[in-house]
Amino acid sequence: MTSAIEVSGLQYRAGPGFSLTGVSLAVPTGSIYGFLGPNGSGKTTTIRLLLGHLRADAGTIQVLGESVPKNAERVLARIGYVPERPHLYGTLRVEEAIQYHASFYPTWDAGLAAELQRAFRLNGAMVLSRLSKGELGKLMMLLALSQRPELLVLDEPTDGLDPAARREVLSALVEFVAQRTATVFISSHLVHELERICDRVAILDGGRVVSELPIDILKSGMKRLRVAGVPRMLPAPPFTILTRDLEVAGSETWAVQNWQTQHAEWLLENGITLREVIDLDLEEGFVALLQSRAVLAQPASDSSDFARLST
Amino acid sequence: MFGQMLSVQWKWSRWSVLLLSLAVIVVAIWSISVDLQNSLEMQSGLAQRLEAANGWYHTLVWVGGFLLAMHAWRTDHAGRHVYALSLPIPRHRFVLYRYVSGLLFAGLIVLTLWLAALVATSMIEVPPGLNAYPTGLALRIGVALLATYALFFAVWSATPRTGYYVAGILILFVVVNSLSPTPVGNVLQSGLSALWSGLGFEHIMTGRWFLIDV
Amino acid sequence: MFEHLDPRSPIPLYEQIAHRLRVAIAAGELAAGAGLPSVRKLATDLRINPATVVQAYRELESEGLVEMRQGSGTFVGEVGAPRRARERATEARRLVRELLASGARKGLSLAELRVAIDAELDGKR
Repeated sequence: MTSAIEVSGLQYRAGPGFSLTGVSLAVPTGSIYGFLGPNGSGKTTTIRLLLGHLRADAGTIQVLGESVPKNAERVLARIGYVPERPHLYGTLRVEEAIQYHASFYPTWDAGLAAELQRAFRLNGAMVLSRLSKGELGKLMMLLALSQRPELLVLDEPTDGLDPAARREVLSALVEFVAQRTATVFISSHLVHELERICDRVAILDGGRVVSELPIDILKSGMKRLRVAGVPRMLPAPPFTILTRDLEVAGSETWAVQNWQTQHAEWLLENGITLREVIDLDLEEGFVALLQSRAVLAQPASDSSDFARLST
Repeated sequence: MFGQMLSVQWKWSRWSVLLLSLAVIVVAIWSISVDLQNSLEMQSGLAQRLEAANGWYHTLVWVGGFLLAMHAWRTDHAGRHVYALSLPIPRHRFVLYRYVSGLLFAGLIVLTLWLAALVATSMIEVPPGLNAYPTGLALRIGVALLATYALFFAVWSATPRTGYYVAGILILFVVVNSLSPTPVGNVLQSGLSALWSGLGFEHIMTGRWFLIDV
Repeated sequence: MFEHLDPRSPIPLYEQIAHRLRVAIAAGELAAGAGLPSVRKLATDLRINPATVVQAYRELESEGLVEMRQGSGTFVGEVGAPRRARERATEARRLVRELLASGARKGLSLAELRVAIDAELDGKR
């Protein structure tokens, strides 16, 4: 399987407080790839490196077979990009913005643009600075899709949109990829959204990739276990314990990763009673994963940040 | 692609271009609108008017260069250049297109000035011993506008950080200069003036910009 | 038919879709020859990955329940009565298993469940 994006050992220091440390990714061609992480984890920085806007301190980037930033201009013609914050010229009218954008792309599909403009109910005479957040989000998606790109790079494409606009934007995206081969690289902190459409996800935290798996495997291995009779010295389990919460004496709740049903035997061998196995959805698993990392980093930290994440 | 960039930049610059064009028409006509019946008064009145117009031309050249360069870059700066950077066009070509667009607008202003100067000189009878220089004036101002536009374009196209460096150097220069004419101040001053004349600005920006002259 | 698909469930989305269709075919809701929605339409309506829909249809195809015809779409195949009965039995067993599991979680005994079932059935009559 070829990769639409291949990144290895990416290092970038954005300032004293933040740096990417060794980000590696392989995004298979034709996949919908979720790039998940809390705000400030380095998602946007990674994306800007992929597009050649920033220059990495170390590491290599290959996008659609081209080396970035060396051949960035050539590869940008094949990428549809929706940035985190609206980047279009606010003084233009919708139709002017479309014309302007179209003039840069030889692959521009005017028919698709017109179709999407109708579907999104975008008034061509409206000035961009007067558009609502939802309308602007739809316009950016229209521009990116009408390029007929081989790769879509979407940075929080539905952040701040109302549910109706979010639905329309995602439907248009799905319809686009259903009709032609395109790779979608989509970053979000809205876990539910990615859960629906992604094949694979990478989870970024604190400037590094902490997990990278097909979504079904990631989800099926994430469980909450209610156990009793936990010995004081717990031998290393065949799965990963992300978090441990004490309920009453000897009774604990664990959030675990890489769980398989046969692991129940290991619990039995160690005298642990398995009361219940509860399925975790991606968001709960995501929060547990980040919590476990925060505990590793600073044992005394509270979890208020993660409570915010899960809302 | 260039056509679209031009039309978008025109949208940002058009009011400034219109205003500057109107201003040069007014200044050109006004500079020679004196009572031509009384020949003695005419001579001194005309000289005064031409002198004042000279000052206005200088002001307009600086303001025009500044405005044209500002309109070329302001919107991109506001969006932190994310849009321009994500377009599939080499950076140097994007900058070139922006520059040429502004240059065309400057040309429009100079063309207006030239026409206004031609009309103005045809309205009066040039006194004996004097000559009208409508084309010469338009050319001189055109070159000057080109220079100020290029200067401000370079400043505006720079990142905010470069802008801060330039501003910092200027402030340092003013502070050092005002404290005392120490050797440091002199060195800075002579360095700056060397830059000013060495780059040819002195020749472009000084001299008499008179529609009617000896 | 596809209401309440649960992307948060650990059961993969493709399996959820395949299951719904399997039940509908077994119940005769989808007759032989009936066309299933196109991949593009179903994916767009549900806002899910088109590959997920393809995967669901492939699974049903491998079970012999549907037929994917190149270029014209996916159609319900000829499913004999014995096969339908078997699918229905599987579904019934699945429901009972679910009931038992959730009863066990709440500490209900089998006897208690039986009583409740009988009472419910009596009420229906």
